[in-house]
Amino acid sequence: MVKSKNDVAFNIVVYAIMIIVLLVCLIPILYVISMSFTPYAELVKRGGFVLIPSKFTLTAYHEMLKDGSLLNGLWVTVRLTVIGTICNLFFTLLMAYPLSRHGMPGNKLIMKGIVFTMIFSAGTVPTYLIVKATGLLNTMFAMFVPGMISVYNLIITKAFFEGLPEELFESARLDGCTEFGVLWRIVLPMSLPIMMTIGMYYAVAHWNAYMVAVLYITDQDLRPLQVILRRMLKAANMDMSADEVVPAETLKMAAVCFATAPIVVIYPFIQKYFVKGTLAGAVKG
Amino acid sequence: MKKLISLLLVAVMVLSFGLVNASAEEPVTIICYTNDNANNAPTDLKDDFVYQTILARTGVDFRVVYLDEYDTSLAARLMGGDDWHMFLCDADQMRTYAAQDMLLPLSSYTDMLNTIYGSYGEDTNISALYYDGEMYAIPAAKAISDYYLMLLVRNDWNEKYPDLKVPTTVDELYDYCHFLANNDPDGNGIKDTIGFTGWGINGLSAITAPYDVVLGNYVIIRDGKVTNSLLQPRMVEALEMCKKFFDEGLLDPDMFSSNSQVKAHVIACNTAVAAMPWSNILKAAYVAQYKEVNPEADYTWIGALSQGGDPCYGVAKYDKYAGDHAVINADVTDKELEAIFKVLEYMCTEEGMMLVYAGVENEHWTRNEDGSIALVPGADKLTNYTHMYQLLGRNDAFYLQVKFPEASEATAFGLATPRYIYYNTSVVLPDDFNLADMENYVKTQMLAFIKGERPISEYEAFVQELNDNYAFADYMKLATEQLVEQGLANE
Amino acid sequence: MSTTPLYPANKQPLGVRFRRAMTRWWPLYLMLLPGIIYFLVYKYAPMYGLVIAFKKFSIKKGILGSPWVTPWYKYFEQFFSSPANRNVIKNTITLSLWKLAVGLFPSLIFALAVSECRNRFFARIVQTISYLPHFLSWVVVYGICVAMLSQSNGVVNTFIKKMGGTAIPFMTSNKYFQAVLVGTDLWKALGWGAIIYLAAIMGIDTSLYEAATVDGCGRFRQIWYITLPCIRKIFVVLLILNVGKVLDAGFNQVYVFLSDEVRSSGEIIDTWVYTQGIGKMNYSLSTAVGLMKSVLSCVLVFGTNALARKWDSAIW
Repeated sequence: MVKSKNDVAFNIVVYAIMIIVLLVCLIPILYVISMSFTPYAELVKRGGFVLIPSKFTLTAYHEMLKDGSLLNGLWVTVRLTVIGTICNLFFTLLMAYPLSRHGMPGNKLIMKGIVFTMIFSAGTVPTYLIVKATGLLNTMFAMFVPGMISVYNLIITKAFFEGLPEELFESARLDGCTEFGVLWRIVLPMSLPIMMTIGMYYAVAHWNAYMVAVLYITDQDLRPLQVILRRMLKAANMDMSADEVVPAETLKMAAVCFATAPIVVIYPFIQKYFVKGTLAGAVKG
Repeated sequence: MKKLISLLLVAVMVLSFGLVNASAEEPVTIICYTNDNANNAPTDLKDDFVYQTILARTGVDFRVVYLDEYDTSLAARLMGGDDWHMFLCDADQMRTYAAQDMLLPLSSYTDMLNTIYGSYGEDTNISALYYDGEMYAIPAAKAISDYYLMLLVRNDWNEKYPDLKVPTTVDELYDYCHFLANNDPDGNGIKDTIGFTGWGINGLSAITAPYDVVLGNYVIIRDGKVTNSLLQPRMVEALEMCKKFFDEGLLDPDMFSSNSQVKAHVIACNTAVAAMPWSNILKAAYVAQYKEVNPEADYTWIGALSQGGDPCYGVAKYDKYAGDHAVINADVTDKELEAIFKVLEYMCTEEGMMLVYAGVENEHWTRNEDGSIALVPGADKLTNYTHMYQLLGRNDAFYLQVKFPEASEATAFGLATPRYIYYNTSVVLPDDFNLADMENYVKTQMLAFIKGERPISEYEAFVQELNDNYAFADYMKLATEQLVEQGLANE
Repeated sequence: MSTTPLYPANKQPLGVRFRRAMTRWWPLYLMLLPGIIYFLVYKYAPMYGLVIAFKKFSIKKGILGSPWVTPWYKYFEQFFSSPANRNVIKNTITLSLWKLAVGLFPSLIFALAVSECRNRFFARIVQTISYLPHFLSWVVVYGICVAMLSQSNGVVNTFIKKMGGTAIPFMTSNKYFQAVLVGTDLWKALGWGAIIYLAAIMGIDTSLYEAATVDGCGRFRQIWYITLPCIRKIFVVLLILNVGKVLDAGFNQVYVFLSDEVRSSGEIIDTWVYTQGIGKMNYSLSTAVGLMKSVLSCVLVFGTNALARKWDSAIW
């Protein structure tokens, strides 16, 4: 293939965008990481900004991990993320598929009803009362059941399913496939990129779970990572208090790194499923 | 002698009977919600020596539970019918709950109140404890953080420039800041010294309070008359002085938006004058930090400035202890109430008080021969969560002396510094009075005057706007009525 | 649509239609059942709490037992009688519209760039890094912002001063504050927002591109004629969903960034409500304002959806 002038221009634009985004995102992230390893005095001396630590310390991490509660929190969060995301995906899929089918009576009404809940949210206290009434208080379930299906993710999933060619379902049904079979054997394999995407959305939401835990959990052993971290950071922000010596800003950054690193590594695995033409292959096969 | 022995015997019998009795039944559980974030509190009650000591001494299973996002969490728990006996809240919340008959009226429990007053001291003007003439909040001697604000200067620079006059008036402060900001005192070749910094508008009071003015809505009493800082005759003069600081680039640009930036500037050792609480710079840990940046740096403090009037800086509530207090559930059983009082009374004993201040004697602290208290080295790491048990507050001067002996001079100086006393917390507003809007408007306009976004000549017009749009005159009328009624003012 | 409905919505009695729908579609309704139960229990049941907008909230009496307030619009009036409200509404709308635009288009452009980048390794690295900012809380983003933009020692201003310019008060001036809010929002959401577009682009049939290349179509034109039309649907869906949030303007962000100096350009409805409610447990006011916002969002979402139906991209 001959490379046209047009193509060169195109590549320049593409790489320019990529490099700008890379720099804009990388520099602040580097700053966060190096700050967590820099002694506070060194940091203020340098005017509050370091990209490469000139002095290296693990004090902030040491301070953070000195009691075991953070590790316990991490374990709670991991469990919550895995169990919660699997349940979320299952129920979202189960609901999005029928809603995506054309001509099913009542679909539009149900959709409207669902979108309505996205706009009118009931408020914290009444939701607390329902969670309490359904017996979830102080259990792991309280942290994901009340948010089992996200309207946002449901609608995106449904929109993707609607894009699947109708002939697929017809031929599958002619082969004697049940609706559950169609969902499991045809729809699911073809929608891996979108399932991965919303799976990640759910997983990250669980990873960052804070308000649900604060409200519904009192058991100290069930507190997820973010609750423990925020407590730590809140202590670091107490301005007037004479009681405690406030840990330095660097602790905040160490906490961010500690809490983010594990969830960040999942993305490259998900990227594997982001290959062009997943759908086309399925149709032909 | 016989009599004494028999008395002793009886006493031993009674005591042992009491002990047996106490161990025979389950301890009463008391749950008290708090918003006092003790980061270092042990997660397991087994390791919480304050909890264990209270249990051992009083036989009460007394749990102080910290709630994140306090207001929301508390409301949910109160509505959800969760088990609770006490919680901490401010005066506004106390009045809201008291109006709904949720709280136990306390006035009749004079014995308990007297015990508290006996060991924590009494402040007779605590309107914050009352709703509708009845006391609902447990009196407490709160930390007097209003008196922590210090005016910090660099001792090493004062020595370096012996001709430079350490300021005693606002005019001299201006010269002082101006000189240091423009003469590169740290000799690093960059003009990076900040003339004046401080924590927001309260920090700026070091400049304005000598004019008998603070930039905000502060109800004050002058010559027995209720008035407001905003109506003070020298307001325009004070604003112009602030503007002069601003125009000359002497004010820290971060001082109104970020306290942590201000602190960073102070630790970075490039501020001439900083108005901030001692607790953020004079503790040993922070001194070590700034010494690491500049080993020669040496922060000291100066007294209040004057400018044709009384010297003064920093605002302070008249009602010193306005703040969070503990309240009791109206529905507690007699047994639970007895348990609560037992714990409170224990906290009033010297042992109990020291327990919530600094821990257990000989384990965390020891008594010197002269009766003063010394912390056992390293114990501060184990005890720095005990403040969440300080439901009755603390004798702040004593407490700080024990906890931060390195800053004792500073804390004493702070407590003795004349402050700008205001009475806002003694005024109870009707539910639908919108004070937040007014106060926010005042703050934005004050900053606009200082930064030259609005000419100071429009000050009269500004006060008129407050009257027209924010019911400022009504507010002052209410304040006057209530303060006169409380006997604090004549008119 | 591609299949004709088996039972046109004719004048048959409801019962008959219901029975026929059930016999034809029952497995699908069965699949819907858990979801519907979920929405009824956890979303609709607590909605009775909205009545608190018209009541004087009493914790002791509970939501339903609290007394009605007179006049019923008291808390709505409280919002509209505040002298601050005009400014607050204006700020909310400008900020949200900017965020709406900035939240949709740059992510799309970035997603296109990633998908068109021939060096897959580089593309993956950039994309992974681009989504990191999403994980930083606003408190941390504020910290970064101060380090970058502070007037006294921020990196940008240090550079400007070295170049001989005067420092710009990005964070403390009404002139720049909204731009800072929109910019940081863009920064935080760019990579994260691109993921969904990428997933959509990956779903496009590659044979379309092959055919276009054979026809001598350049890559700019391929994007214009193939990629964009193919992901139009998801774009419109996201648009509709985001329109519903137009009156939020991002409380968490603004709350962290706001200071007295920039209150007149930065205060939004939600932060205003928050400062009103401090210490007063003013649930009624916040519910009333929330209700008002919801009604408006509702109109907007249903309106946009009706418009979108013309392009066949409606969400129902």
